[in-house]
Amino acid sequence: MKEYDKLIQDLAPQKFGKLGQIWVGFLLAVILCALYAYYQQLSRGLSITNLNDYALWGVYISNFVFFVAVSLVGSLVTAILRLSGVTWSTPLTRIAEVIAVAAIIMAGLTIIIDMGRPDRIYNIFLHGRLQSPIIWDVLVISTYLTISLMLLFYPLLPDFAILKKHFANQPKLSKWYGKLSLNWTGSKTQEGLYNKSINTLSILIIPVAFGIHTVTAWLFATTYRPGWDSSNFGPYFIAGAFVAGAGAVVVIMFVLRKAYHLEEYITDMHFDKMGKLLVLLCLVYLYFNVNEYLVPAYKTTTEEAGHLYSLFLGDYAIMFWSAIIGGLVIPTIALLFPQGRKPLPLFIIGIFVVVGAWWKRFIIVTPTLLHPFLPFQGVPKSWHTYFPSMLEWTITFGTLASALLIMTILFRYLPIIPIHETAEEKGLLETHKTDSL
Amino acid sequence: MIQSTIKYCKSAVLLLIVVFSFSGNTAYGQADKKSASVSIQYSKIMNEYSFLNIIAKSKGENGFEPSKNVNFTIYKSDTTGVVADVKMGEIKTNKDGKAKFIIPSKFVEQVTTYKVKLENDKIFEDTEEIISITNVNIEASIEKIDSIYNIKARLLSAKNKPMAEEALNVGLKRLFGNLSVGGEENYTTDEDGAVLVPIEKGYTGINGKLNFQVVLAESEKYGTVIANINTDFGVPIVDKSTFNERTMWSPPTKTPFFLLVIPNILLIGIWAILTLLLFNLYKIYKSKN
Repeated sequence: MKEYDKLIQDLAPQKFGKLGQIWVGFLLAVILCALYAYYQQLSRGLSITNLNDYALWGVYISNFVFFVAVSLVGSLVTAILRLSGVTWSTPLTRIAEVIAVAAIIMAGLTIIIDMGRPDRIYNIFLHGRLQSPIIWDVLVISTYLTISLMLLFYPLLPDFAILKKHFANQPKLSKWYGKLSLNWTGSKTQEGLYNKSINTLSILIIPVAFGIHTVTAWLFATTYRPGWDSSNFGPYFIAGAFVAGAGAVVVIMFVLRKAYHLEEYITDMHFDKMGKLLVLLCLVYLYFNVNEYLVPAYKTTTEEAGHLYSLFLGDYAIMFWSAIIGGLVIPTIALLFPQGRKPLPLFIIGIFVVVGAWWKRFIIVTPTLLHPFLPFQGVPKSWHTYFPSMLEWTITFGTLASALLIMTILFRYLPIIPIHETAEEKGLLETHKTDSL
Repeated sequence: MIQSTIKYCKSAVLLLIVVFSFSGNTAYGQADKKSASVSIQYSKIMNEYSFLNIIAKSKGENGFEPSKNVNFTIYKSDTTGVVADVKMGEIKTNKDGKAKFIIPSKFVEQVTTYKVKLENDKIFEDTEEIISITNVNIEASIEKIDSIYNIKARLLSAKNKPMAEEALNVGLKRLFGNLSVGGEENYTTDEDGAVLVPIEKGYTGINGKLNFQVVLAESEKYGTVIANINTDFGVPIVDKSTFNERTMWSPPTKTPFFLLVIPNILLIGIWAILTLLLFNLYKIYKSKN
């Protein structure tokens, strides 16, 4: 078999095996449970949650911030590395783009889930104030979703054309790939438009991605509350988002490599490089964490002291230290050693990083709300604390499962590794063209 | 023996029936009514009117509670008992158990005794309170001495005789009470019945208007007497409302210009590029060669 044909054979989308079907079935079951829980929420209102007048943002908003954070990876791997002339990241670009798209779709939906009356969402557009960071968030999320979709779609054009031919024996599938390829022939005009557009998108996505994370941080930082009242929150969120996104890529690339036998394309070198990138990002994020907690701890105003105590030694201490030590410090130390950057150890570290990143968002959102400037008065004792209800957890897991399902479906029908780009980098495209002649 | 026992039993049953029958009626009698605690205060606002503040309370499940909708009859009374009480009017307490009865001026004399009666109420026992008030007056005015404004007040008896050694409060009326003027809580009248209180500079008021009050407060003999002085030499309060301005806290129609311009330029710029890139897709679709 010629090398080019083997490449297509290896990288063309494959049907789900038994494990794949079980995985999809499992995700659908979780989503169905979440839909039932959401139906309960729609009919009975937010009273099914443990949210209250004080903890008005809870697990939903933490989850939203997590999704927004993970979506940043699209701009990191696709745009920043591409523009830096890094070529080793080519097999990871599609994975990063798919993660970004799935995460940003679910971020938007999670915000709607957090609304007590989602049927009134049109009021945001009718009465929205440009002074409000919430409106900035709506605008920037929709823009980022569009850019991410385009950045996913553009590089797929030549791959769709390849797949159209590859699946010629499956007319229906081939027809779809043909339509999606937009008559791609690889002509000079098309190549010119293609390259120019991808470069433009790669540049455009960076400020928008920074914008979305900064605006999400401003949702918190523009309110005067202990733990949020920081001018540093924008960069702090961006640094954290890079860590969460890179962790997600590491985990997903390991799973996909195993499931689709892509060892030849996603090599140990890729894990090593991603490991090095992750350790750098973890160190930057650690720096921001020190900054974010040390300065208020030094000043120790009454309100900040109460908030910090709950994090360091109080109710949230286990979560806080688990997220910091388990999700940042241990991964950083482990990744400093080459053995830690091998696929399996890196996969485990990636899981720690992602889970730590999720909990980190929870402890950014909730403890602050439970330390208001005006003391608790005349409210039930249960309002002094917050932990999500079972239905909240079900809906939250449903959103996570939905993100994974979007990825799973996209990876089912799209080449996980860009075929055209890989062939181009390996010089197979020229050989193939010559052979064709 | 048995017959006499049966006779006793019959008598006991009859007695019980009688007792129960009457106990039903006495439930509405005076004995089962609640007792109300009534207090009255006399006040006089110079050159306006005098009034009685009536407060009624009764014991409830949560301690003393206001007695609302209780009807009181107010009389001008003669303590010697020679002249019969003269009814001045009636008034009902509000939801806070309070009522303000304005005394018709024809009933105000040098010394007047007021009787407040609670009579024939369904819930409360009959009760009455009496208060005797000696009528006094306060004359208050503003005097400018060496470019400093002063409040001059005189306390005079009904026969216009100065009253010495009485404490007068001098304050500037504010939303939740009086702000003491001159630094003292109260001032004692001299032999001329007068006090002179300098007014510090810098008091603010809407359009510079200030309402000073000289008060003889809660005297057992004279009640409360208030004299108002309205002036306009205060520092005018400048309305700093930003209601009509474009601010960060305005409604959408009053968004600051920079926030209208910068985000919209950014949005239009980005979406223009995205539209161009979408058009590029169309161009790719159309150009096969």
